Amino acid sequence: MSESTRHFTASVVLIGQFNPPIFSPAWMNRVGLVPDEALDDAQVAIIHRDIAQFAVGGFSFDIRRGRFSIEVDSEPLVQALDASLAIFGEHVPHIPVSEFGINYTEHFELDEPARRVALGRRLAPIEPWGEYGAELDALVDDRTSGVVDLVMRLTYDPPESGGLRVEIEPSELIEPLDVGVVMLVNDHRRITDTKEADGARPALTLLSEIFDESLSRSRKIVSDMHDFAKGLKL
Amino acid sequence: MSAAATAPSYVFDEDAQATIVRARAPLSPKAESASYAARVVVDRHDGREQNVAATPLASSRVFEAAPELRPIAHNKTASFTVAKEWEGVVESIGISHFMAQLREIGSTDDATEVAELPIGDIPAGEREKLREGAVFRYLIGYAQHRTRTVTRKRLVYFRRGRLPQDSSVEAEWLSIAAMFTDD
Repeated sequence: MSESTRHFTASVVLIGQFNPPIFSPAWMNRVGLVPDEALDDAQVAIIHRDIAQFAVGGFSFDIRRGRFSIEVDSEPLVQALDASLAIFGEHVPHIPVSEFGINYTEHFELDEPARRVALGRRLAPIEPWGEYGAELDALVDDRTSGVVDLVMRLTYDPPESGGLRVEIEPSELIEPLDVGVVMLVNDHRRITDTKEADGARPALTLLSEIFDESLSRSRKIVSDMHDFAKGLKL
Repeated sequence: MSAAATAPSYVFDEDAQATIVRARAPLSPKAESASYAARVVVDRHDGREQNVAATPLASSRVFEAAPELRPIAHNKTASFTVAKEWEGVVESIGISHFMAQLREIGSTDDATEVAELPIGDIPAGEREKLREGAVFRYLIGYAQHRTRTVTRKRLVYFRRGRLPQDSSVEAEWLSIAAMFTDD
């Protein structure tokens, strides 16, 4: 079976008011999120009053005063949801969470550099760019020119409830460096009718309801783009 | 050297969208007054990090130590691509298999099916969670290894965490309020 290289991560980002230094690998173990043996391999980048950044038990945490991110890079991706529920549903449910994002990032590999250039040209045609566009197209061989970052955004109804942001750019993770593409999908939701006394409950309820559907849609967006690129005639 | 002299401070740099560490590192006497700035992370919406890079605030100063933060490394050996995923509830447990009701994730209907699954598919560390009523995910797909070899794979993962109950949020608020009550 032959399959091109792909790497993916999923993360849940909660927006609220957090106290970074209370969170650590030991705290995650104490609340039962990670087993004792995971502490041996824990990696701590920093734990400070303004930021806590560490990885333990397959989770990567990035916690700021206004933002709490949990990332996983292996299946099942529902672990990111479960970690959110274990922390904010069971142990610190009083922390108000006003917004959240379900993020999915995937790097995929195309069969040749020309295919990635062709995809870039379809995403961002060079014709509207005049003489500059002609210069872009003239550069060949090991100098590839063209789109380096493109963002699309779908606004939900009502607009204040959030939106779906998709970004595509060349991947720096896949080698060789001229055949990889990375897509980042951010499904952002804002809780519009919550009270501080409700804590994290309204956000976690919505998060639980839409998590699987959101990830399925994100994967479909990436898969559609990958299929489109594979079908381009060179 | 006093404790204050060695304590780092952290400043969020709006222009760079990065948190900057300013620290007085423990230095040799001749360079004790030098200080350093280390760019820790770039706060992108996707949470991706940039490499930690340290630069001296004043390049003419002699320095022998700069605060170093260990970058978080990921050592994944295989990428698992899911072909199908179900959420299941354990109905009964046998010697080598267990029965469960399964609902396919992403399916347009809520239809459930009953399946007999091998206990051997459950990772050893998860088997203690196998009990009637337990909720789990069952995934089938293939794993691609660094060598690009691909193998079929099945995975059982027991769900954890739960939504906060009304009473738990209220109780937590009351316990916080109690800390500020004069008695």
